[in-house]
This record gives sequence, structure tokens and C-alpha cells, in this order.
Amino acid sequence: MARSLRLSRRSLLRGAGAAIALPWLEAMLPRGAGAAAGIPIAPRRLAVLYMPNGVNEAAWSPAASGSNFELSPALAPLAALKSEILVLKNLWNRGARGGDGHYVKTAGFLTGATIAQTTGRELDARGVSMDQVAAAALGAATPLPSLELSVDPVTAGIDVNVNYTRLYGSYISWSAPTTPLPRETDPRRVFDRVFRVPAPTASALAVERSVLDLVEDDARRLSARLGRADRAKLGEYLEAVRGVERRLEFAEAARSREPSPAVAREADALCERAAAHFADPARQGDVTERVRLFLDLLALAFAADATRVATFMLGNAVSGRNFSFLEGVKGGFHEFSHHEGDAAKLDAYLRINRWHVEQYAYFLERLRSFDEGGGSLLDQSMVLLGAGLRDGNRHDPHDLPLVLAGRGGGSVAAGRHLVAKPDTPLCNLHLALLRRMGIAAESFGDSTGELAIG
Amino acid sequence: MRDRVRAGDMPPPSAPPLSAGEREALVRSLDLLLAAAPRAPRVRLRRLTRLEYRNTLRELLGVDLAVEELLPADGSGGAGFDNNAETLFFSTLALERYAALAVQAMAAAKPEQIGPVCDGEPAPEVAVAWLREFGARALRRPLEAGEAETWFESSRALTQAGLEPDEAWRRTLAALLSTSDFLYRGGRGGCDQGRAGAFPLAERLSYFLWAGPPDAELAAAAASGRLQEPAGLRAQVDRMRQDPRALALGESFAAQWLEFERLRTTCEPDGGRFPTYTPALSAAMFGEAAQFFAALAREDRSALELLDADWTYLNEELARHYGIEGVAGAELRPVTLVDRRRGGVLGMAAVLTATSYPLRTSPVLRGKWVLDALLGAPPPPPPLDAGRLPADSKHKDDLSLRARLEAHRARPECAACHEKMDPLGFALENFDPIGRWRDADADHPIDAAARLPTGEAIDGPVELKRLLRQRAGAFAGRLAEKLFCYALGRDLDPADAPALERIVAEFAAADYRMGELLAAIAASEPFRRADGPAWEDY
Repeated sequence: MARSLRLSRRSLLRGAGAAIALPWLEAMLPRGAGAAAGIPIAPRRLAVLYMPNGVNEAAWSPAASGSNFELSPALAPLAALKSEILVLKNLWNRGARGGDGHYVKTAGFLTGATIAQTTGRELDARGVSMDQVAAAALGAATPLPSLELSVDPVTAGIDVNVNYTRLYGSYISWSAPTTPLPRETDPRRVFDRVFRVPAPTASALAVERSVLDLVEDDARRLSARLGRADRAKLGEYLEAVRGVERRLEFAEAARSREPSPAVAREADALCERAAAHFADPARQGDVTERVRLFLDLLALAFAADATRVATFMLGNAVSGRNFSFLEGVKGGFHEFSHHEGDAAKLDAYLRINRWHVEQYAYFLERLRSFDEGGGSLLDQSMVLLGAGLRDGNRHDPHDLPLVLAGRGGGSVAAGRHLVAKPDTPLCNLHLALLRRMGIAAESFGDSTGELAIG
Repeated sequence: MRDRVRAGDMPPPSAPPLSAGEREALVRSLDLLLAAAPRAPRVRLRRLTRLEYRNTLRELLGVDLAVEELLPADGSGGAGFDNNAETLFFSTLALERYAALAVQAMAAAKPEQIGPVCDGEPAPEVAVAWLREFGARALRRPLEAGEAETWFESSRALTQAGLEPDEAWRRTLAALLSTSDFLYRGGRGGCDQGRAGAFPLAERLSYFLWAGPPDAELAAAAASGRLQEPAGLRAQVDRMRQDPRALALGESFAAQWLEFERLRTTCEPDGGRFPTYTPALSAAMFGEAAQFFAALAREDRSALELLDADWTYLNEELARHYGIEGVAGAELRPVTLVDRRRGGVLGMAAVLTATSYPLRTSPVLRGKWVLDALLGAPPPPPPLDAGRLPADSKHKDDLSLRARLEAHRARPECAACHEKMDPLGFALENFDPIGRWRDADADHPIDAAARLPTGEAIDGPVELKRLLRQRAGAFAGRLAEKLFCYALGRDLDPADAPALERIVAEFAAADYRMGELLAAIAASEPFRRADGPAWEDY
């Protein structure tokens, strides 16, 4: 079987030392797999970029509604993309009220549910996140059902102040109410997983299958001896076995497809940039570059149709990231989010918010640079930027700061400031996004209907 | 309730009082009830943490892979440790990575470590015998009848599927290292009258003390039955805490308990303000705290040395950071301290940095850390709209950090907790955000004097340390509780209270020597209780 994605010989040789033999997964870019699954041929993509610690609310929302609005100071970096965005106002997450200031707001951002207050025992998000509902339905069409990315590693410890494990603040993607999905924190690993996969031969596939059978049989034998709680826990392992199996099935069914020259060229350049970034210790603190490596990678993964669903956390809940690299900022994010109405702190808070919007704009431009189906990849996508709370001083999940971009294959009417009725459920947006991804959901979370984004 | 009866809080003053004897009898019968009470099923199956997985591969194959680059980080749960069973998750991504790492490890292992594979296909009986031995080490238990044969047949099947015998063999072993049997522990516990069988106990002990698998000697003690005798268990604890692998108690347990693991994750002192905070200095800070803790266990010293000591671990860079002369070289080594402002965790840069913001210290964070980590009395949460101080102590208006905090405490709803936290933090104000000594902060002379709600006055770290030593009981109780949770991989149930109490009593009776604490935990009923369906409802 031919390699389906052709990277330059140079980049392969360069990467060979670091290349990882991924024994069970090798698949690329099938043509028509989507059609077989009953999904529209021109696939839509869904990405969520999450911001911790809320925003400087006075500088966030545009003053006017409808299509005739001026961008607010926080949204100014989107000037060149104004016709591509839909600024959303008055959505709230009922499930995230109360609890604490951050964990409930983060882990519940895409589920619309209220997490169980616990430091670990019977940990429960009480819902599957919107992105994972999409991934479960669409995942069979692409080599990877979804990608979960993050700049920060999982925050360690428990928050004894509020009695939550801090890991709640590190996850927005939940494949099951009790299972958060691990996030990739190193762009090189994502690159390897998405682009550096050897094409499988039939015999190699047979070997992978027998290995998989072995570990599955072993796990079933173990499971039979366990009590209820442990059996449920081992269920995660068995679910993972099924996940790898699905990837094998995909590899088997996949037919090779040449990547567009643009994608191959970009992959090469990206590989080089990532290598340069990580080779130089002095540059590793450059969080902007790290974020952009992720965003470039994600744009490329979307362009190559390696996945259609992704979440990216630009920081964990309560992130104290030192933003002193920004002009006019001397200190950490979380500290400024507790601004107490102080003008100087609000100014720094705004500058940090604007940095997040700049990264978002960068990603949208990247998507716009890829052609697809007579338009751009951005036209086929829906990219949400948002936080689980509005004002960082109040920790309030009302009127969440949210921007949607892209036209969802013509299903989103962009270029507007959509002012919804006060306290419209955030889940109405989630439902609207799911339906545009081809999922015939009746409702999602506490949705009362579909938000009119089209 | 039991604890409140025991502490004398109950019955309330309005009710007839209990005599000491009555109180003791009541506590004892409550203990019996608690012990007999049905327990809610709890997850006991524990996936190996990243560190445990790395150590396990290394001990098994002599291969040390940088698994942190590939495996997702583990979060914390329960009492705040990453080895908490319930919060160790699994995913497709994880399985891909474990499988890839197992293949990598097999490729990197020396031939003598992966058995009879080099010269064509080995004779079945030779291969099966080797697999039985290897499997027992890998899975930390003797293989059951037929298991080794199954793995051998698998290897043959892979050969028939087209792999070279050598490759088929390695892939089989790699598959074994990707099974749930390898990646989780606590699954197949042989039971002996409700207690963990010898091998599960050995496994539990080695992951407690070493964050790694049993070695040959521990496995032999399990096989002979000695491990399940009190003297045999004690002998293993004493041997193992003196082994270099027990550094894990410092690098894993202490780093999480005292929260200086943050130096490896989210802690980022401002590079412009603190150019001497290099990766090497950060590693030395971490190493000082971790090695100090491990040395207490290794040398069976008093845990109170964590509160104050006349020695620590330093290398040249860290000594310079502290202003201490006469230490040359990059290696951390024990150094006697003349200046007692250092000595004990309160003078360690790892702790002082982990409890600071990028550009300033936080008396609040440090005070809260003392209350929570050291004394086990965390304050309640601040109101959601609580204010924050400026991020940088070099702030425009001319108030010192301390003056600002005092203004904040004028709010009555804030005062109750801050009166407890802030004085403890003020006493540490001479340590800057990366733990260096300072006499002034942005031209404000440091005022490290403070008064606690109890009326006690302290000034500076030396007096704070003296104060904490007067609370040795609370501190030792906190350490024992945390270490017990770490050993069990879960937080405590009410039913564990009597066991914890016994552990603390034995610890105190031994003048808080660390060896006694480790032994008391290992000998405790919850640590030794059997896994699995023996006591769990189906």
C-alpha cells in the first residue's frame, strides 16, 4: 500500500530518529469514507478554543447588534475577519452556576452539566461534551475521531478551598461522564500521530489485530474477576481497545490519496518550525509560538481531513500564566482577572484577552488559506472561541464571552453580533453546532431549542 | 462523630458529660461498628502512574525511556496524589502510546533481558519456562497455569502471520507489556482470609516505597511467606527505605504533598526579574527538597526535621542562591547549616518559589500552605468576588505589599481567615519569590513580625519554625494522614480512622522517626486488606 500522505524525503529522514513506530494505527485520508457513513461529501469541521479566567467584560461585547457593529477593543484583532465571525451575546451555562469559580465552569463548558463536587471519588462530569458527541458520530470517517490539545499539562493537586480535584479545570472534553480525554501538550507528538504514520501492509495489519486480540482477551479475563467499581474502571481500557480497533478498521478500508501539494508543503515547514522551537531552550518559554504550532497543526489536520473535531485549551482553569511578555502587562493571568474594578488591572486583563483573540484570529486566517470545495477551509468550519465564565472578578456564567467563526459549509450566517434573549442556554448553541455537523440530536444538555446562528 | 466524641467536642456541654472511661468505651464500640459497616465499593484497580510505569519498565528491561514525552500527564485526586485509583484514566491515545513504548522498550532491551530469541525459534519448553519467569516479574505475581503457554502460542501465531521469530517474540512481549494486567495493579489479588495475598502485598509495598515494582528479594520474601509475618514485613520496609529507589518518596510523595512538584509544571518566576532562576537552579531546588525527605526515611530520622534542621542538600548553584559559601560542583550533597534561617522545608527555595507568584511573594499563599500542607487545617474558600493584590510588588502607588494586605483584612468577611493565614506568611517575607533572603522589597523594609489569633507573636522564619515545632502533633498527624493516603492510592473513609489513629500513635511513640511511620502504614489493616470481590459487593 502506498503512503497516503507524502512528506518530503528530507523531512522523513530528519524525523526518522524521532519517529515512533505506532504499531496499531496507520491510516490516512480515505476518499468517500464519509459518504459511506452517510455524511456529506464536503465535510464540516468543528473546533473549540477555550480561554481560562474569563474576560474584561466592558471591553468584550460590541455595542451594536446585527451586521452593523463595531468590533470591541478585545475583539479588535478580528478586524480582517469581521465578515467571518458571529459574536454571541447573552448565552449562559445554567449547569455551571454555583459550585466554585472555575472548575464547574471549565469541565461543564461543553457538557452543560454540573460536575460532582469531589476530589476524586466518584468523579463525574455528569455529561458527555458536545465535541465528543460529534466525534462519536463522525469519528469513523477520519483517521482520528477527534483531537484534544492544550498548552498546559494537567494541573496537579486538589483545591482544598473548594473541594474539587484540579483536574476538573484541565478538561473540557469528556468522552463519558467519568472519563476526561487526555490532551496533547507537545505539538511534535500530535504531528507524529497525525502525519508520521507508516502505511500498513496487509500482514502488518494482521499482526496488529492479533496483538489487539491478545490484550483484549487478557483484559476480559481480568474483568471477570473484578468487583463492580473496578470492572467499570477497566471499562476504560476495553473502550480504548475498541478505539484502536476502529483505527485498524479505518486503515484497512482506507484507500490512498495524495495530499494536496499545499498540505504537504505546510507539513514540511511545520515540522521544521517545531524542531527549531524545541531545539532551543531559550525559545521554549515562547507560549505564543507554541500555541501557533498547535494551531498550524490543527489547521493542517483539518485540511488533510485527518479529523473533523478538535478542542484546544489555551490554558487550564485558574491559569496563572505569566503574561509579562505582553506590553503593559506585569504579572499572571489569574491575578489580573481579579481586577476589583481597578483601571490598571482591567487594562492588563484586556491585553491578555486580546492576546487570546489574536491567536484565534491567527487560526482563522490559517483555515482561510486552504482552498476546499471552491471556497476556503474556513467556510467549511465552525470555530468557537469562548470561556466558561464572563467577568473573572465575579466568576459568573451568565452572558459568556463567545465568538463563532466560519460558515459551517454555508449553514452559519456570519458577520453579525447576535444578541440572544437574556439567559439563553449555552446548550442551544451546542445543539446548533451538533446539528450542523450532521447529528440529528433532539436536544443537548439544558437546550430549549436551536440557537439561530444560520 | 467518632472523632468529635474522642476529641471531647461531643456530647455537647448541654448534655451529661462522659467519664474518660466511658468516652474510651464509646469510641471503641464505634470503631467496631465502623469496621463492620458495609463499605461502598471503591475502585482499587490502579493504572500505573507515568512515574511508576517508567520505573517498572526500567527495572524489568534495564531500559529507561522518557515516557513523559509520550504519555498524557496524570491529574490528582483523593488526598491530592496522582496515584489515586479513581482519577487514573485510560484512553485510546494512552493505549496507542503504551503499545508504542512497549515496542520501543523491546527494541532497546539487551538480548539477555528478553530471553531465548536470538538464534531462531527456541524450544517450546525453554521458551515457556523463560516466559513464566519473565511474566512473574512483569506482572508482579506468579503466572497462573497455562498463561505462559498462551503467550508462547501467541508468539508462534505471529510467526505464522509472517513475522520473523525474533520479531514475533518481541511483539509478544510488547503485547504483554500493553495488557491491563501489566498497566494496572491491584487486579488479581490472591486472598488470604480477607488480607492481600503475599504478591499483591509485595506489589503494594514496592509502589508505596519505590514507585516501582518489587525486586527479587521482595518477591522472594513474598514467595516464602515471610512477607506476611510482621517481622518479615518490617524487615522489608527497613531494607527498602534504605534503597536508592526510595528517593521516590521525596520525588513523588513529598513533591505532591508539599506541592513543590509545581516547579516542574506551572511555576514560572518572571525571567526578566529573576534571571538566575535557570532550569538547573530549579532542578537543584526540587532535588534539595526531595533528597532531604528521602534522607529522613533512609536514615530513620525524625520527621520534625522537616520543620527545622541544621542540614540540607545543596549544590554550588543553590548554595550561591542561599548565600552559603564553600559548596563546589553540580552534585547535591548534605551540607551542615550554620545559619538557621534555612533548614527545614520553610527555608527551602522549592517551597518558597512554589508558593509565590511570578513577580511577587504571597503571604496569603504561603500562610495557606502552612495551614494546609503542614498543619492539616486549610482555611475555607474566599468569597467569589474576593479581591487580589497587584501582580507585581513593584507597584506604582507607594504601599508595601503588607500594608495592602492589611487593608484587605479590614473587610470583616475576609478577616477571620486572613488573620490565620497572613501572619504565617508574613514571617516568611524575608524570602523573595524564588526563595532568596532579602531585607527589603521594592524599597520597603521587610517587616516579618506578626501576631496569630492565639495571641502568639512571631518575627521571621526562626520564630515561625519554633512555633510549628510546638505544634508537632498536628504536623505529624498531617504527614501521617497524607502518607497513608498516598500508600493506599485513595482518600480515607471514616472506617479508616482507627487505623490512622494507631499509625499516628506509633509514630509519636517513636519520636516521629520516619522508619516507624512507614512500617506502621505498611502493617495497617487498610494497607493489607485484600483487593477485589472478597469484600466488595458484586
